Amino acid sequence: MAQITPSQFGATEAGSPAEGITLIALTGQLDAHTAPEFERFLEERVRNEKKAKLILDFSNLEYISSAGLGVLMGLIEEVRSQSGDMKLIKVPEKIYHVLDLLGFPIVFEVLPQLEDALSAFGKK
Amino acid sequence: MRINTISLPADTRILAELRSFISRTAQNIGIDPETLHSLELAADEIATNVIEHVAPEMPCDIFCRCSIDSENHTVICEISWQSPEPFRPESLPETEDIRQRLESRQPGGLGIFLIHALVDEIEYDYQEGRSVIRLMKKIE
Repeated sequence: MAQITPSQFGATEAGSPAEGITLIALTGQLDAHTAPEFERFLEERVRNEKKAKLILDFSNLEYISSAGLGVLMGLIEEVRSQSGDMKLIKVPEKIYHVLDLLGFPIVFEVLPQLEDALSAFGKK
Repeated sequence: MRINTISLPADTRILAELRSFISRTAQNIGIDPETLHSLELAADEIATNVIEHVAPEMPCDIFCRCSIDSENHTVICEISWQSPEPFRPESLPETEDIRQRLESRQPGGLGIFLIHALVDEIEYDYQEGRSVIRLMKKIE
């Protein structure tokens, strides 16, 4: 295992583009190795910091598997119960293909740009 | 027929290496990026299933064998692991089932649904004490 480089993933808060809204930037590869880190990150924001209106920027996310999508599924009801939502923006085509195969756009709003997500939250 | 193989311990740390192996194999024959991504993701989903559901009970290695069948314009990715009995795939959820699971926020079954949606053909086999899943994807 010494020579093997595991998947690299990052989730960072990229500011608050409008009052009460948190922008989160995702980078790297979100698979079963990195999904627990993503889950902890989101749980911290939603449960401890009570941030419920989240915009997830996928523009630098290179890869996602069902493990990563399961994290989003696991928290969407919680944020909505706090009058919030998770909106996905700038989703690369190959990742959108995976979301679409599974019907995620039925549950999650997938929008082109930050401004679209802000409008969807009623901020513009 | 060109064949490449890799053997990796069943641990989530190897998922990036497994995908990279498939990518390296595919690069040499100029597979389009969409086909490559489908194979990487399908193989990742199978390996993840083995790591999460098989390895905790019985540590094992995941063996991946990729071959190109030029005559039939097909890439074949075979994933296998030591197993005392044949792997019995859970019944494949229909598209409508997946929609219902999404709407009721039940993530179970997403992986198996994805695997079948991403490749053209899938075979389940059992050879010499190993469960085998064979993914086949047509190439241009």
